[in-house]
Amino acid sequence: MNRSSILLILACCWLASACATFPKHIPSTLLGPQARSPFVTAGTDSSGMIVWKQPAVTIPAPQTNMGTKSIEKCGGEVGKFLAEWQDVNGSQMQLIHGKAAASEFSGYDFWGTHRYHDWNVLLVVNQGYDAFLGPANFISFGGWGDDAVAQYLFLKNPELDGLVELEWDSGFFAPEMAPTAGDETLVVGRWAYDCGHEDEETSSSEHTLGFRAEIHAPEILMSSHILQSDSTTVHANFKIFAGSRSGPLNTIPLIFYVQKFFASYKNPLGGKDYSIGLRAPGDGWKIASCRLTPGTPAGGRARRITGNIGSDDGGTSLTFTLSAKDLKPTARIESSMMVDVTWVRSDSSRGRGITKCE
Amino acid sequence: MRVIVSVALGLTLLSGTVLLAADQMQDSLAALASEDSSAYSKAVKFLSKNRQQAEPSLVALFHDTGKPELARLRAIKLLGDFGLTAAAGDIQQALKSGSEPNVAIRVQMVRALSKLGGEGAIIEYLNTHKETSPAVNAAIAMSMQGRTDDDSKKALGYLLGIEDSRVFRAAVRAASKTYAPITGQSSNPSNPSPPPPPIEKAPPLSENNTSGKVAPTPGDRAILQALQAHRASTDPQTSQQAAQLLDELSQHYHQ
Repeated sequence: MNRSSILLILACCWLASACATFPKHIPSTLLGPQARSPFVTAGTDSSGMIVWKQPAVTIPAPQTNMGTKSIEKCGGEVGKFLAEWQDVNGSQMQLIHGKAAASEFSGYDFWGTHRYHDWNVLLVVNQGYDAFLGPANFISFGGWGDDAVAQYLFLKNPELDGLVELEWDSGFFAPEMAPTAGDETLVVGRWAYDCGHEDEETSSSEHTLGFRAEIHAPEILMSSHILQSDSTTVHANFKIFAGSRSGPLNTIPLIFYVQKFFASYKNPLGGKDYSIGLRAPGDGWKIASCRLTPGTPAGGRARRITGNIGSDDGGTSLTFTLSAKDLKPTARIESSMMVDVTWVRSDSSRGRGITKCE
Repeated sequence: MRVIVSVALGLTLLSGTVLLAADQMQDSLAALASEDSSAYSKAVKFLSKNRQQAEPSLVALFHDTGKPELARLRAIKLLGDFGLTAAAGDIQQALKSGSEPNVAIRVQMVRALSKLGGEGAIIEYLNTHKETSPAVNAAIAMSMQGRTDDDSKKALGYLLGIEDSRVFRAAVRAASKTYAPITGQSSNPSNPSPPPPPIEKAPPLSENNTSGKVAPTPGDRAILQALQAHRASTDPQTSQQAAQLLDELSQHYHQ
């Protein structure tokens, strides 16, 4: 093979890798901007409908140096070209609970580290999760200046301040399983600095707030969408998506631009069992109906595992379990489920305190 | 004949190019109102490359209250980001007039002015005491960070006295940056800013003063008093932040 052939092949590879696209199976209604909820406020875990049960997770202690730490870890101007995401606090998975203010495709993604466009969720975190926010995560410090969706949210609600983003390459996640804006959302995943989003401070004497901290990529994303909520009935649709792959996060695009086609970041979803509670907000409810249906898969070659759901408190709440303990931590697995649940008042003649879902 | 044809062809091409650029400019300005992130990104790229030509249109856009608020907000942001200092006067006037009802747009005015070197106008606006929005006051506090002149310190002292956690958090961050040279806190070790101007210091209280402490200026005093008041706050985070900065400053200033 002569030199010009090699150069031609390299050029073709470079051109082929130079676009982050949308997967073919995505419905066209999801491609553009989605409805947003600028007025969501920080809730509490105890008032929510999703309760994380196991494995046990701990919230990291607040760090006062997240801004400077992000700059050190990201490594200045060229850092992004060597690794776009850097773990904030080791490689253990972290859990964040909050409400989605926006949930839609990102407008722009760096071609070297994305196989497909990311699906992004902007989250207002529950009380007690502020430790996950660095200075660049606060609008009041001048953060999010480069983010068109955050600009829109802030314009509509200037009370909005701290936000965390969840980003998942849509080749490894089904956007149909994403929360819609306003939904309670729980995420478990890699807590990382996004070295592609450095925020300027507003003063001329200082030039950076550091990089935003985010979950990139999640391994479990769960949401509850309330369809009806009044004094007699609560009807909600829960979406649960778990996946161990998240796209070419750790590739070095400047050198190995072809690497993005076969490299995918592995979250350690396997090796553990998971259980998550689903309940109606407040006391005095019983389950009137419950239906478990398969969710949309992400596509690709992941082994699909199915969760189970049932009530172990006589029909007041449900527990969703996902068994992955017997699998390797790096196993390529995925689970996508939807649960439709209706609760009625416990003294209602409707329902029988259902303990198993259809 | 050939020359005439060449000139005509050249003129046609030129006018075509000019018209195309004008179209792109209009499209980009229109895209500032778009809720679509990718349309906005493309518009910013084009306007950034043609920032000088875009300036009058961006100024006109932010003045036009009939245009969508999202477009006006972004027009002001871009004027600041592009460093179009000629627009500072317009933004300053619009802020001082107090006629802008949208809080997010006022925040953006403060940020743009700060980037364009209009801190004096921001202090003037603050001193009118018309601003009641925590978001705007927090943005004003952030624009004072690292500034060691006494007017900026007085402004920070005033902002620290406002009972709002968002304003307080921004003002504490700003004050930490302002006093970083004396408290020894490095705000950004790997991306050092140019050395700040020397801190204004009042002379030592007496010739016998051997503690090395200096008398605070009126601006320092305003900050110290506000921090002192917050030390007793019922919000643990606020009282902790106030106490920490106060302790650091106490090592340097007589109180």
